[in-house]
Amino acid sequence: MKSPPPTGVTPMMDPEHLGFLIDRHSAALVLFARQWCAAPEDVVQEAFIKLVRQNPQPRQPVAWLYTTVRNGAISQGRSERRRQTYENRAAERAPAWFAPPDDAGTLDAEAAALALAELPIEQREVIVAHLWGDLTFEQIAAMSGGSAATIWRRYTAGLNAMREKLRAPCPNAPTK
Amino acid sequence: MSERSDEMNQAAEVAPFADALRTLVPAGTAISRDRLLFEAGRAAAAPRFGWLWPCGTLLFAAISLALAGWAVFEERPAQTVVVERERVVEVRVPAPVEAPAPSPNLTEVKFEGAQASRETVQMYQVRRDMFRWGVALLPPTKPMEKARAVRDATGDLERWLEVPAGTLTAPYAKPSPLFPMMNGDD
Repeated sequence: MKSPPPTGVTPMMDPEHLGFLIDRHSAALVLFARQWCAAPEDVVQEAFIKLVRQNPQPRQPVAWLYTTVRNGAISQGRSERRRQTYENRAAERAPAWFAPPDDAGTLDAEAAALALAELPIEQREVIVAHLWGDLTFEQIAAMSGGSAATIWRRYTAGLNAMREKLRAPCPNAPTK
Repeated sequence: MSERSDEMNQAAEVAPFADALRTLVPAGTAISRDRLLFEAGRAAAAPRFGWLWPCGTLLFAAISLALAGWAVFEERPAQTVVVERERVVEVRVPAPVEAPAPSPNLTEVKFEGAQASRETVQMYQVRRDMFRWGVALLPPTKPMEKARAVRDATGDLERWLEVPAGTLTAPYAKPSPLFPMMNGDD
């Protein structure tokens, strides 16, 4: 039986759990933070350190991490004060968003990154948080504001736009 | 109902594409796992309000500097030098009106009783006249000198004649009155 922590001592996150979160979500969090700022690693690292210092620990640490990373990335993106539009910056960095796929039958990583970078930020954050962060639409709605239905509409609209750009075949489309 | 069916159709349409996208792996990050764990552990061990003392010190230092600046550069009024000068102030106070001292009634001499002699009455009369008319009114002393000369001559004569002193007596030299009216010899 696990003994409770002594009085006055902050209950710390288990280092093994923290290591698991880093291994499992750091890459996706970096991709998520990259949507707003040019130095996403710093934002993600700061978010993990903030997570450790939370007392009490959040019930949903992954959703908490995405919310913290989103706020930090937006703040850092504002402080960068670049003259270029964000879409141009995202397009320039897009090829580095995904690792080269091992399977040749999958989507082209560079093309997918470019298509994703051309989407509005509202659709991009929903797609990244849902596909690579495994956040539910309710969690994304709580993070970015709005309802789950609105988030879902943004998600489907973004995916349709990407599919059109990538010209991926619709599986339900009638074949001629 | 039709709206919900449209949404269901859209979900079904994008699901295969979403699964294909999910196969893409985000690019590796430059985050060092070990270093992040170390930083997280150090942050967890750090006191939660470690910033309190530095911020408090900074705050009070700023207040002290502000007060020192205020004390040094405060605009003070010109220092007033007080010089004491003694000045005599004449205050004219009207003299209290006093009743004049009653002048001695020199013209009237009162005698108590009827035993005053004639010489005393005359003496007082002479004094009254002297106060009224001045010292020039006093009788000359010449008759007295004449009487003394006569007395001396009588003494000499008695010595020449070898008779006892006092044998030859000079008559009383009565002074001649300047103002006979004073004596009532009108």
